[in-house]
Amino acid sequence: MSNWSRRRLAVSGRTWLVLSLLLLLAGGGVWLWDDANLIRIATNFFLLCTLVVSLQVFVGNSGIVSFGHVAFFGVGAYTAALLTIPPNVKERALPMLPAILMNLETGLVTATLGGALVAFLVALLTGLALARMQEQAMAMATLALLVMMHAIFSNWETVTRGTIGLYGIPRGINLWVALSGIIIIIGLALLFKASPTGLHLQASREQPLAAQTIGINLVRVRLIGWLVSGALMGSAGALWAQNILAFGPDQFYFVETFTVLSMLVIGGLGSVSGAVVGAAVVTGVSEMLRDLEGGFTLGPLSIPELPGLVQLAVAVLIMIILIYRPEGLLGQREVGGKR
Amino acid sequence: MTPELLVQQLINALSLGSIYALLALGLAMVFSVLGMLNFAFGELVTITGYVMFWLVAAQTSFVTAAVAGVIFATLASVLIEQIAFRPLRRAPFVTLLFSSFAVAVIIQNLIRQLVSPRPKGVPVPGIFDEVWRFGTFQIGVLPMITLGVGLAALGLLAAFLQRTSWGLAIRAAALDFEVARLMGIRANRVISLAFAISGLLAGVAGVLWVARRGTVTPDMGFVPILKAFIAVVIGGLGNLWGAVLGGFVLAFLEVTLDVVLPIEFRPYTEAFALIAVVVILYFRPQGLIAAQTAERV
Amino acid sequence: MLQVRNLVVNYGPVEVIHGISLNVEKGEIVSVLGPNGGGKSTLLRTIVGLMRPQQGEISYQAARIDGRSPEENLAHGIALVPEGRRIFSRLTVLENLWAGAYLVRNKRVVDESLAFVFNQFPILAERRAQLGGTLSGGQQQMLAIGRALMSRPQLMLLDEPSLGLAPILVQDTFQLIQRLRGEGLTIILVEQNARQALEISDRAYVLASGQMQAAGRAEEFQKGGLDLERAYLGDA
Ligand SMILES: Nc1ncnc2c1ncn2[C@@H]1O[C@H](COP(=O)(O)OP(=O)(O)OP(=O)(O)O)[C@@H](O)[C@H]1O
Ligand SMILES: [Mg+2]
Repeated sequence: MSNWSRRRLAVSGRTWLVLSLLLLLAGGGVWLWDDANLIRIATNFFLLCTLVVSLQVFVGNSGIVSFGHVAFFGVGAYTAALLTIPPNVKERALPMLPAILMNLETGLVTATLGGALVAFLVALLTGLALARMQEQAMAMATLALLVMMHAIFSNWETVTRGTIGLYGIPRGINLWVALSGIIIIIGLALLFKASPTGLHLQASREQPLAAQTIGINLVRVRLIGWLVSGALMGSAGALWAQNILAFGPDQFYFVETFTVLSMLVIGGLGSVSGAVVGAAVVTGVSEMLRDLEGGFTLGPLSIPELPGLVQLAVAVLIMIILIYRPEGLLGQREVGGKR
Repeated sequence: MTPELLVQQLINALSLGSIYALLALGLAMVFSVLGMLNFAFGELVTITGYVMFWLVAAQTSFVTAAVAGVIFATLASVLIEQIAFRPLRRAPFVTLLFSSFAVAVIIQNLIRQLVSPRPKGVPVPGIFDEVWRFGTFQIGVLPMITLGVGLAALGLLAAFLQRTSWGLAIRAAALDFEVARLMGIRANRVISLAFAISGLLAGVAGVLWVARRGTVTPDMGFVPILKAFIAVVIGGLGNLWGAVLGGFVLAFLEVTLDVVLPIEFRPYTEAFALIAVVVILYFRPQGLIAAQTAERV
Repeated sequence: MLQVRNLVVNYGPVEVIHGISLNVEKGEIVSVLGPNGGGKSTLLRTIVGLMRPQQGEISYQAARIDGRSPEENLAHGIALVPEGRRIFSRLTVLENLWAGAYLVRNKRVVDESLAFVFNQFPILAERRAQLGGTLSGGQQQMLAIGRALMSRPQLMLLDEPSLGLAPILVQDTFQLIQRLRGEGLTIILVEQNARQALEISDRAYVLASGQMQAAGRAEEFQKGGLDLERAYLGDA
C-alpha cells in the first residue's frame, strides 16, 4: 500500500516550524515580561496544548469522538507521580505500595516516557475491543473507559490513595520544559497525520466504505491511531503531574473531558494547529472569566459567586461555533500549510 | 442463596432494569429517527428532578410534582431540539454529538448558577421506604412501584407505537427517514414527536430515579445517560426494543455482580459491568440485536 | 402537467445536472433513459423535493413546486417509488401499505385503496402479516409500488422498477404500469431497460452526464429516427 509522501512531510515540517516558532515567541515574550502570574498561565497553556494535540491525533484523524482519553491522561499522571515522588513521602502516603515502586525515584524524562508506556498498555488492552466497534458504539465505549478508569483511580487505595489523591511530586516543569514538551508532541502529531496510517485513518473518516474497498484495514488503522494518541496523552499527563504536584481522581473525569474536547471542537477537529488555537481561545476565555466566577463588585452592585460560569461560557461558545463554523475555527487547515 | 434473597434480588434487578429500559428507549428513540446520540438526554432527568424539588418544597404533593416533572421534561426535550439541534439538522454525527454535549453542560451550569451547586433533598412519601412481608418474603414497596410504573409506561408506549398512525410514522422514520418523508410523514413533526417521547421517558425514569435517591444535584444526569448509552449499545444501536432488552440485561448484570463480587470489589461493580459490556461488544459489535439502520439501502 | 425548466442540481459543490428541461402531459407515460450516473435518480429526487435545485423551475399543474417538501408534493399527488425499492423491512406488509396512506385521513378511502392494491397484487394480501424484509425481490417491488399507490397519486415517478427482477417479472411490471395509466395515472419511468420501456412509453428522454441528450416520441427511438446509442454516449 501507499508509502510516506515526501510532499506531505515537507508541508507538515513547515507547519511544525511555524507553530513551534509562534509558541517559542509566546514563551519568550512571557519570559521577558517576567510576570510570575503570566508565566504560570503560559506554562499551563503549553501543558494544556499537549493534551489537546494528543487527543487530536485520534479524534481528528479518525473522526470518532473519544470521551475516554482523559483516562490515559490520568494513567500518565499517576504513573509519573509514582515514579517521581521521593520514597520517604511514599512511605507515609502509600505504606502498602510494593517495594519496587516504593524505592523508585526517577527524573523527568523517565517519568514522562513511563507515563506514555503505561498509557500505551492501557490503550492496547482497551483498543483491541474498541477498534472493532462501529463509530457510534465506539464513542459510547470510550465513555465507559472513562468511568472504569475513574473507578480504579478512586478505589485502588494502595497505589492511588483513593479519592484523597497523591501529593509530593517534585516540580519537574518550568516554562521551557513545557514548551519543549508541546513542540515535541506537535511534531509527533503532525508526523502521524502525514504518515500512511494517518492518511488511511483520514480516508476512513471521510468514506468508511470506500476506504475498505480500496484495501484499508479499518480496525488496524483505528487501533494504531488509538495507541499513538493514548501514549501521547499519557506523556502529556505525566508532564502535567510534574507541574501540578498534587492531584486526585476527580481531575480526570467529566469536566476535563469536556474541556479538552471543547478546545478541539472550537479549533477544528481535523487540524493540529486547530488544537493549539482551541486551547488558546478557551484559556483566554477562562482567564477572563475566572475572576468573575469568584464573585465581584460592580459599582454598588455586588455580584455573588457564579460557579461554573467558565464552563457555561465555553459551552455557549461551542454552540455558536458549531452553528456558524461547523468545522471549527481552522477547519482542516494547518498554519503554514498551503490553504 | 436463600429463595427469599433470590426473589428480592430478582425484583431489584427487574425494577432497576425497568428504569434503565425507559432511559435506553428514550435515547434510542431519538437515535433511531435522527441518527444522533443525544448527550443532553441525561439533563432531562435532571430537569425532572429539579421541577419536583421546587414543587415538593412548595408543599405540592409528590404525585403532582412527579406529573409536572414529566411534563417539563417532555417540553424541554422538544424545545432543546428546536433550539440546539434543528439548525444543525444536516451536520455530521460528531457535530450533533458535540452540540448535545454542550447543551448538557449549559443546563448543568445554569442549574448551578440559578439553584445551587450543592445537593438538594426531595422528601419522598414515607410509603416508599416500607416493606411488604409475605411469610418469610420481604419486598420493598419502592421497587414494586418502580417496576409497576416502568412496565406500565413501556406497555403504553408499545401500544402507541404499534397501534396508532403516529406510532407507525415514528417506526417508519426510524427505519428509513427519507422514505418516510416520501410517505408524507413530515420530517419536523416526526422529529418533534420523537423528542417528545424521549423527554416523556426521561421524565418517568427521572421520577423513579429521584424516588430512589431522594436528592437532586446539578450533575445527576450523568449516571442515567451513561446507563442508557450502555443499554442502547448492548441492545443494538437504533433498535427500539433492543434498547429495552439492553436495559434489563444491564440491570441483571449489575445486580448479579453486586451479589457475586466479594465485598472489597464492590466499588468496582460498575467497572466490571462495563468490562462485561465491552466483552459482549467484542463478540457482537452490532449489539445483541443487529441494528435496523444497517439494513438501509 | 409537469414542467421542468433549466434545472441545475448539485451534490455539495459538485454539479451533477446541468440545466435540463422536461415536460409531461396528463395521462402520458414518459421514460427517462440513460447510462449509470447520468443523473436520472437525482432528477426524480429533485422533482419530489428530496433535493433542492440550484437553479431552474419545476411547475406542476401550473404552480411552482421547486422548494416544496416531499410531504407537500405527496399531498398534491406526486409520489416517488425510490430506486432500490426501500420498503420498511421491519414493518409488516400491511404496515408498509398503511404508511403509504399516511396522509389519507379517511379510513374508508384507505380500505378502498388497500382493496385496489391487493387486487393488483394478490400475493401481498396473502403475505400481509409478514415482515417486509422477508419478501422476495419481486414481491418487494410490488410492495413498493403498492405503497406509493396507497396515497392515490396523480403523478407517479418510478425509479428503475425492473432493477434486479427476472425477465418475466419485468414484463409483469411494465404491464402493470400500463394498467395504472389506464386508471388515470401519469407516469415518469426511469429505466435501464430501454427497449422494453420504450414499448410502453409515449415519449422518452435520454439523460447522460447530467444533460438531455435526446428527446422524442418513443416510436422515433424504436424506428431509429433518433439514435438511442449515440444519445447514451452523450454525443447525439
Ligand atoms: N449522495 C451523493 N453524493 C454525491 N454525489 C452523488 C450522490 N448521489 C449521486 N451522486 C452523483 O451524481 C451523479 C448522478 O447520479 P444519479 O444517481 O442521479 O444517477 P442515475 O442516472 O440514477 O444512475 P443509475 O442508473 O446508476 O441509478 C453521479 O455522478 C453520482 O456519482
Ligand atoms: Mg439511479
